[in-house]
Amino acid sequence: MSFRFEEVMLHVRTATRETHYRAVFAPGLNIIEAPNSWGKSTLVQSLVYGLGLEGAFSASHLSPLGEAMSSVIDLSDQREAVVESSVTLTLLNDHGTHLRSRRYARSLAYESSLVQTWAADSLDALSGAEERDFYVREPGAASHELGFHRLLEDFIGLELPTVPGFNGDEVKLYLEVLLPLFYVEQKYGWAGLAPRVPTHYRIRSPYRRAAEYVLGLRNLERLKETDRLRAKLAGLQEEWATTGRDLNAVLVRQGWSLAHPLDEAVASGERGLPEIGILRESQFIDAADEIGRMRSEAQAMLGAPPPTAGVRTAIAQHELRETEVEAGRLAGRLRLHREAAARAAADVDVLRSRQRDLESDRARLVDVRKLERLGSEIGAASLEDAHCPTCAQDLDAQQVATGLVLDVSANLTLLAAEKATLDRMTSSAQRDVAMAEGAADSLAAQLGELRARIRSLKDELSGPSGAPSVAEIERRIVLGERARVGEIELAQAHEHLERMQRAAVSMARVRDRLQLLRSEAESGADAQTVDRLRSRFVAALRRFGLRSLPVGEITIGSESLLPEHDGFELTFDIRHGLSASDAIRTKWAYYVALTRTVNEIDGAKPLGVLIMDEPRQQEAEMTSVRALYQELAAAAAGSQVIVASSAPAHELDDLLSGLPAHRLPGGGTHMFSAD
Amino acid sequence: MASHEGLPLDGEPRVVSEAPVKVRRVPLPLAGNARFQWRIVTVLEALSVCRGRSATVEQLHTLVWALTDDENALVLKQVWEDPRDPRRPFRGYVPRLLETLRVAHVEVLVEQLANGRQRLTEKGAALLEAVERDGIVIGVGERLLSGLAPISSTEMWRRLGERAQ
Repeated sequence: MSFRFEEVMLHVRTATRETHYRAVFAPGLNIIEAPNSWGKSTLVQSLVYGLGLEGAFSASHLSPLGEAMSSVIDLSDQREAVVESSVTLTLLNDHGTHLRSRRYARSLAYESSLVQTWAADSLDALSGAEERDFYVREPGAASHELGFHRLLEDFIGLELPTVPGFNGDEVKLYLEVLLPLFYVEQKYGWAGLAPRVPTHYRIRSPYRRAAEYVLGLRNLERLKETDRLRAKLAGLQEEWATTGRDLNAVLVRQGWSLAHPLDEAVASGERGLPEIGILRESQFIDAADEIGRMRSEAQAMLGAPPPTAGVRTAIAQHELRETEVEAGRLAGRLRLHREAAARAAADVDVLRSRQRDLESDRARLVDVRKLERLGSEIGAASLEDAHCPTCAQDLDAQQVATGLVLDVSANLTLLAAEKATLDRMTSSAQRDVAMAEGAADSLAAQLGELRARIRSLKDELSGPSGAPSVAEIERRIVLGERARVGEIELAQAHEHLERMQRAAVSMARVRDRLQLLRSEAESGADAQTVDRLRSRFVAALRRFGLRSLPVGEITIGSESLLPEHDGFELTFDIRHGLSASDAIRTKWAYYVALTRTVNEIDGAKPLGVLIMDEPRQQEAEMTSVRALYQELAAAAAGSQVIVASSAPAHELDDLLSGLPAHRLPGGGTHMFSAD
Repeated sequence: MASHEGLPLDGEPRVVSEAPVKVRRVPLPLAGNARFQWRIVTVLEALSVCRGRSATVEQLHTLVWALTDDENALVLKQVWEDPRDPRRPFRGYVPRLLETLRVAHVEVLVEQLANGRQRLTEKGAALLEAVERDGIVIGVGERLLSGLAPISSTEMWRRLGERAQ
């Protein structure tokens, strides 16, 4: 699962002539040696251009190649305009397949997005191979059948995963994102400490995803699984909430309530689902029993003609009095429940307000900690002088006899404990609100019925005595209809409950799985791989002679996978006290360690190449550079290493003494001048 | 002071006193349970009855709340003796507990463990012993908590209702 360069040919045609430069690479360590302005960087960039990977360094579609390949070329006797130029690469993969690709940088006939290819089992057979054309630097280049990067991915033997992108979508981990981990270009590549991975591919944490992939860390799979589970959990929570609203609507319509509050833990637990019923006189009456009673009563009434109002006068008067008393009593209870709900809602408001205060306090403390990490000593200095950082007054030694105060981290821990308490209380108060409102809604529905009954009884008592009893007829109609609708709605409510139960059980499983993923993250083979990378990195730093910081203080962070000092990532613009030459040594060490580690670890996915353009920066000492070449030679045991250097031949003779290196000396003043 | 008649609202002239009006500040005593020293002692009391002399912040809120007022103590006693429905947990909350704990930390009367639990220090225990020896704070709450000691988190939430996580 890797590839190497066999050959590169740069071809330029002007109005009067054609010229080309051809370099043949060997497996292992290759040194392109030539003086400044010879075109080493153009040669190295042409490797990237030929692969269509210049997007790794810029989103621009302009050619990254020098002017000799794109506009004008200085030939031996005169300067001429470039009419056509191309880069032809020959690659070899682990299966012994040779792939030749040609991409034009300038041409009247071909767009630079076109890549012509030929594949064969031997170099000789390439010339007779069938041409197949692909496209690159266009949408679909990495995924479509005619995309060159899809071909390249298959040729190298990579299976690039999709990774979390911005906006919660999944994005392919493009080859362009991997390349900066194995290629340091001269112009900007040595400027920072961390690889400059492109950010325009909408990948979240692109460096970390790329490093995880090439190191074969399981974290990437865990991350994807975590994202998938979180999305599933969000869907289930939405289903729970929607179904809960539907259920509540049925309960309110019918004046029913649940025998006990329903939350996710209850629904997924052994206790099972709550019964549905009516709260009457503090007694919980099952809704099905109540419907059955109504139905029986309605049927019994149907058997006899309705009595006249006159016959029922005494009964109706008594019933009216009883109903009015009952309505008054219910109204009182309803008010109490509404008050209880309002009190609980006020509790929720107060608790939320307190949570907001805590959160703003926490945010301030986090900022203070950030300042401390950046080296701020304001707080510490103030305390040392017994000076209060809050009120800016001198502290009375007696009041702070010990001189100890809670540091920022301890304070954050204390706030977290307080927040946990408030979270629980808020949750409990919210349930109280729901219960009180549920009970109030149920009472309100009962009260509505009683008021309707009172109206009917009053109508009956004030009407003609020979007329059929209005209250009785209405009672028959209402009872029958309520029983019918009640049965339908009860069935619906049970369906909602069961749906909520299924959602709750699924949510519990998803949460368990997420917990398991979190615990897996802290153990296993990933940690060993990172340890290997770390030890290779530290050993290389030691060999390169890091001076401005103790070697033991620099490491590779388990989370960032980047060089860190004092828990702080050494990224593009942060050197944390490293001298310029030590920054270069750190960079060498990082690239060498990464390449050697991916070569050594089972399950890692090496690209197969490491390219460094002019690694001797900042006039690094010869002993350090010698150690670098030794490390590169070791890395070249598993990957092809290509280094461009302007060091004089005698210096390279010394540096490479005893090392297996393939040297490509550039003749003349420019790569095209000898032709 | 110049005298004058008030407006005849009800037909009778209002009589206005000529006595000079004097205003002065009369300091009212701060309630005992609002005083900082007392609040710190309640935290020490609460921790002293917990197993291992340590408790979570959530436990402390409820225990200190019970010590704040005799009625609170009686409510806690009632709930403790009649364990709650676990889905409706009982919790007390003391708004100024965090502030009190911070001062107690500064004075090394209480220390915070790595897991966020609060523990009574030797100095805190000595101070509490001195306070109790003097009989300064003995109320319903103190007597109740002494009777419940040692209080463990598990037992406390079993009785007061722990929300399923």
